[in-house]
Amino acid sequence: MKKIMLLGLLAMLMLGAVVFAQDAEESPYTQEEIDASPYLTSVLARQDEEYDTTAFKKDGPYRIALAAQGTSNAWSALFDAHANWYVEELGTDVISELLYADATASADVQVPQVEDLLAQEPDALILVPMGAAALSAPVERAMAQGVPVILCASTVETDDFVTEVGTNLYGSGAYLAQWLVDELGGEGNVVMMTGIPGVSTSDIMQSGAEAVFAANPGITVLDTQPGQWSTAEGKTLMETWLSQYGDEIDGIWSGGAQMSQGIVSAYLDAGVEIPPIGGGEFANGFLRQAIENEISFAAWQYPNAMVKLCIDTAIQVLQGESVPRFIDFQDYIENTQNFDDSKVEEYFNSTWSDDVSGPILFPEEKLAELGFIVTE
Amino acid sequence: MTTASFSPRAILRRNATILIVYGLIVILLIIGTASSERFFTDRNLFNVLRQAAFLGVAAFGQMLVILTGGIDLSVGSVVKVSVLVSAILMSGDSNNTFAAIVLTLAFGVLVGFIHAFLINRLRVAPFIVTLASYVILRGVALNISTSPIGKSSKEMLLFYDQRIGPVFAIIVLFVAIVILLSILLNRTVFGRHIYAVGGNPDVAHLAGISVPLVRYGVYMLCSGLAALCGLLWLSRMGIGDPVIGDGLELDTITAVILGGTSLSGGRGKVIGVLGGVILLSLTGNLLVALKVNQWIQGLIQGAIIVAAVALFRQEDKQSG
Repeated sequence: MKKIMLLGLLAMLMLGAVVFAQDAEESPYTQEEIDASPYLTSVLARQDEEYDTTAFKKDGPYRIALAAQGTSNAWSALFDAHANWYVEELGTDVISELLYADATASADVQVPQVEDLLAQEPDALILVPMGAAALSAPVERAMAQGVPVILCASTVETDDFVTEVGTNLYGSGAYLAQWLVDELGGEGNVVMMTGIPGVSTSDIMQSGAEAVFAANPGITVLDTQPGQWSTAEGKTLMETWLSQYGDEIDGIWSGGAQMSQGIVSAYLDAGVEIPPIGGGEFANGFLRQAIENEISFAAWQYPNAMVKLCIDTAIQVLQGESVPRFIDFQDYIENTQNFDDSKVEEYFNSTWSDDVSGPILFPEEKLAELGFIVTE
Repeated sequence: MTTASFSPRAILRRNATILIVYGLIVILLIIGTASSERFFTDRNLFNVLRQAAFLGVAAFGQMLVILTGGIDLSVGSVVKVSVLVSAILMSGDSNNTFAAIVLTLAFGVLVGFIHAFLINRLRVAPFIVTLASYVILRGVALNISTSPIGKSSKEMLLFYDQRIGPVFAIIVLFVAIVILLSILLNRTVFGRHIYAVGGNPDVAHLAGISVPLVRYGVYMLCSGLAALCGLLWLSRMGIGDPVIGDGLELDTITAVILGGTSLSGGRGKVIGVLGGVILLSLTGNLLVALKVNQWIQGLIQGAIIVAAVALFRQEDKQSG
């Protein structure tokens, strides 16, 4: 009997050890990292949470408000194009009206616009927050008025919203850094070009990358500077680094493909071999450069097509279906996962203009109408 | 003075800009009502008025300065620093609310005092003084923080949605400011001096008016009202964010010009600027109702300003 009990205890311990080992395997982050990043803590917690939306359940068709970034660049123009196309696809018996506000990428323009949209009494609000702090109180007011808020492509500081559609930005930054570490065999000098300091997307990606570099003592970060998510700024900064460090630079971490295009351009001007770049995207211009110059790179994604998922989520919420509090587009939209140069030919599209960020879900004719197709 | 100046035609001509602004407001209301059943509702109209209060509070300060022939390009920067300072001073603690409000307003008044001091003593043009201030205060704000900082107290945050009867408290506050300014400009000696200094500072000086004192008054009021605007933003967002206030100086100048105030000073009415403020706020609201891209608002505003300036020139020719 004792033997049986002992065996049972042993089996339970082994099972526990296996479960623990699985958990440890599933989470790529250390507890220290999670504790150090409120963003990571929030995302990991919300991934496993469900929001009970029965309070918002109502019959369709629905009037949905979209507080968007606005047509300030090609990314946001394609974001809006995806939204309009998808609402048309769904038909007026699902969405009777898509209310729209263009924030011109500015938080202080967006705050009153959210008030204007709420005054139109929408059934749900899809918000692309232009400022995590600035939009927190407006989001809380919307929820207090009974309008469910679906955050799309960015987040706010309050926890009082239904769900967020995006991706784990800390993980994206860490992925690019880990790829670079592997590419360099764990040893070498890197430079880090971040986006705009103070903008959460940039800061969070940076912290993910820094955690990886810190965990690899063979990697030396020569310098970290902002490239302002600009090709011109990126090129200027890379030129400075090239004159300062020259061929000491073994790899480059970049927080965005616009900057990476500037980095490549600086190397081409200097006539120096381009080192591995952890910082590509599904951005046609960068992919063209990568093919033409045989660049080793890793890419993360932040697709404008995610607005389709945001609209689907809003409908789910209004139909009273519970939704996860964090929805990673990588799990729902094809071709939005991280990738590297081995897949560059699959992602590059020779008919698209350089400023197109994929994937594009609507027909090519529509892309042509918008002027994003190259005509020979 | 001739009897003709009191004829209906003369009165109409003198107030043409104001009438056009209110005419445009009526047209926008008709377009909005025709395009959306949710446009001409209590909820949306109170929303527009509450938004107008933000621009209006700062625009009336600008109006006072412009009436004296000056200009204040630092309004947006004062708002920016005020949001940050008040949020830091409040730090989410209700006990700090009163002190934070007083200190923020005092900061605004101090900025206005410095403007007037430099203009009066060093004889530097208001454009240069306030342009320097615009740059310096932006630098100060970004030195304080490039990202959101501080926190509003609960009372301050609740004030944003506070109602007196069916009307938002912010609208009531704005109306009170409009009435007080109207009394100041039309019923007080200081108000008459503002118009006199704007009309011709040399003549005003010869008439025994202290031009420097008038300038101290208007610049302190202007920056004080900008600081109040910053406090309203804190109540709206609950946090100090350095992005607030960008471009506000131009919006205030636009509202003042639209309202029929002459940029060369000495001429302008509170009712006109109120119309300019409401017109700009209503345009933004209508564009959202019509789902139009925001850049078109800039085009519309530009077209209205050109029309207003053309109208001024026409009026000047007729009166000259």
